[in-house]
Amino acid sequence: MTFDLSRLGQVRQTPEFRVNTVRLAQFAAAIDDESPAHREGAIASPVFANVPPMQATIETLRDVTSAFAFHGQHDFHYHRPIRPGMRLFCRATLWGAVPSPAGVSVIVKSETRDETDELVDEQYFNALVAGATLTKSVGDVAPEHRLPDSAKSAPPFAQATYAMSADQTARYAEAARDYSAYTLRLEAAKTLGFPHLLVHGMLTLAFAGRAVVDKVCGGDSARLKRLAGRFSAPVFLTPGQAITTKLWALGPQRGREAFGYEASDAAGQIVIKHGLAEVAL
Amino acid sequence: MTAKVAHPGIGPSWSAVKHQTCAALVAEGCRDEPERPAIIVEDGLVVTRRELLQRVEHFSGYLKPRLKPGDRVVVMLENRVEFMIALFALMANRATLVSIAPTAQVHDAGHILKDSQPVLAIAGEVQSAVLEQLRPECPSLRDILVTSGEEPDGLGRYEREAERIPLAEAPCRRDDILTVFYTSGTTGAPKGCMLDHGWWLRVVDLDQVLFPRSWQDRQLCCLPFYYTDPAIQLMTSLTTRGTLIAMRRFSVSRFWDVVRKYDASEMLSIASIPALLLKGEPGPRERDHRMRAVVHAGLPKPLHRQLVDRFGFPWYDQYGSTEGGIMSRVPVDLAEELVGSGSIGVEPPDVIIRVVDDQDQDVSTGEIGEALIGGPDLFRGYLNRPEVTAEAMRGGWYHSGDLVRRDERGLLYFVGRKKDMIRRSGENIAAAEVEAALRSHPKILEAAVIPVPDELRGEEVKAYIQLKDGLSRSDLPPDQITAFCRARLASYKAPRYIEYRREFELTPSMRVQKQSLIKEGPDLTVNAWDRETG
Repeated sequence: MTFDLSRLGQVRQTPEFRVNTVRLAQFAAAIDDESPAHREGAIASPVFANVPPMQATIETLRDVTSAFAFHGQHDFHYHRPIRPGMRLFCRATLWGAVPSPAGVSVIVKSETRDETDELVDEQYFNALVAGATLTKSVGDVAPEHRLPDSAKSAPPFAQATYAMSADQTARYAEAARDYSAYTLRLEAAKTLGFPHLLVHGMLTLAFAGRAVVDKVCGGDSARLKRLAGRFSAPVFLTPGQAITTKLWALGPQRGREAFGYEASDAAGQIVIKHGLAEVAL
Repeated sequence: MTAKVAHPGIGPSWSAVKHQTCAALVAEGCRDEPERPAIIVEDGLVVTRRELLQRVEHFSGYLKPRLKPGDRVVVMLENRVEFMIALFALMANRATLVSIAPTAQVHDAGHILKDSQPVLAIAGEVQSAVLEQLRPECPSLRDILVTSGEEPDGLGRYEREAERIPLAEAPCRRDDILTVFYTSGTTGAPKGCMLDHGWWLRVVDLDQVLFPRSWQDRQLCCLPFYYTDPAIQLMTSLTTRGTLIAMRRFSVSRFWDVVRKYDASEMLSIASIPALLLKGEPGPRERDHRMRAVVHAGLPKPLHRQLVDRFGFPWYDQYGSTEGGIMSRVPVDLAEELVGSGSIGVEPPDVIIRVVDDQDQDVSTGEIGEALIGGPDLFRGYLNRPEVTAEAMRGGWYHSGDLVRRDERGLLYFVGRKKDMIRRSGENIAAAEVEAALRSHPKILEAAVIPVPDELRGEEVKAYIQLKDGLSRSDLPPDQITAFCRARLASYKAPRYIEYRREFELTPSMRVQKQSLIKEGPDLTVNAWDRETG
């Protein structure tokens, strides 16, 4: 297994990504997002923001290792929503690496800007390279997003459950252009030791994002300023699979309303921990 | 000194493609992300990389006992995925695909069959009937494999007979002749242009070096598969985690729906496609898409600005040919500045274009001459035509037969075909050169120059003039036109005969249909103004 941090701080870019209504609408349909503005393609579902910089992010990770890496955490910071007609340009930077008992957590930071060079969003992508070793942290860390147990002692402010369909990963693969074989072919999933098709981490996060927009943004995704979460267990595309998101109000933080959340699968397994959503007041 | 134009910030040759054969390129492009679609056809058929590779490898196994290296196989198919399966499976067996238009009939298909002596043919049901008729004239042809049934399973009954042969282990070599495409020159019967792996790899590499693509990009193909371009687009897509979106045939009415539904981000355009798109009913769909580039060979100058403004993406003019591959393209950073200029840009890395006179001597900046192409991995000659090949490649340069000029910044402009000549009193006059001079007049919209027979001088120059809208002959009388020409050209090149036209019949590539002008009457000097009689 190769593990090489020599490109720390280096930047990768992707060619122009033009945005149109059809692509946004296809994405919303693929995650069964029922928001009319998302379904019409007038504004992007929040997790769509992952699509434009995905290549630069993954290539940056691949500069470090060719080994299989678990998507550990994702943290979107939104500056403006993605709308049709925008021309997006993305940069990804190898941001840092942190040792952990299971391996090394590699952090890639991406920036998406529009054609006028205005920031559209920033993202911290965190992947766990199992088996890799590192004596001490290098580079920068990603911002924290912890949901303290004390906050969860209160009853949830809101919760929502959305079912997954048998073709959910196939639809998401096409909408995001993320065709990872273990999300689409059982034999590929089994090769990696999984009993069923794996659900894309971003698809699970997109389901949590639906709950956030529906329950705490009043259906208006333009109000969402931050969406973060830690993937704590794999989600499998089993019959009857569904994602339940529970949200707790954390009160105002930095001039925004903050909510903590957790997502669990149909079996009750918590699949996203330390979820955080910040909403413009 | 004026600064010379270059393609901005691009990598060197072979920075995009490292493979030694197309088989290695295709195998790797299919292996890395097997579930990503390789091809999506406009009616909804999706073929993943895994399925494409599987079918190629099975069909390759079927072909193995039936072919030896260097064998030629005719492929005569419409825009179906089986065309690409056949191409890659033939390649794996070191055989050569000979491409025939699916619309060809006994005359044109017969010429190719007799010339190329194929051992096998792969054809659709309609096409196989044409080939069957020609069998008596082509004794080398042992078998015709007919595609039938649901695409992409048209060759399935052959695929299922055989074991897979891994494409990555195909024993092909870089100098194997992968394909023969028949090109119709201005004279004589079509010639089979032989292209090896090196040619294909070079074009795929240059296309990416000039225009980097992302995983989110999808190339739209609306050209016939029997051209080189669709397979280039597919190979480029396979190496950049892209997907080829294929139309059965170009259609204005379906165009924007296909672009939007399948998320095309670029396309390759030729001939009348720009004019047809501009004739389409305007609507919001044509601005709400993700297209970010079109590469077009021979963009009609007057349409260029409209295309960019109406559809909202750059149209890059390119100069390419089967023999020379990608010879010149407008640099991305100059696209806006050069809209409507008619420039075909500058050469990509390691291609050199010389502009020469009839003695192959370089002409001065701004002068019109023939484009000679130098560089690695040009075509490998014309099948069975060593003397024609030697003539075209004399001095080690490919003689394109195209007239171009280069300005002081190094930008190239296409002028016309060299064979389009008038021979007057022993002097050769390039029609394109006179037309270019005429078109530079501010009152002239379009001009066509043809030879008319002349007892004294052999041929004389006749010009047809289309004035700009609202102008008539009295605004620009013929004597002013000849005076204008004489101020810019040697006087023997100035037209003797001038005739005014309100419009011209155009070819599919939006050039004046000169053959129909020539066929208008037995004596084309009748009704024309004559410089000698006034």
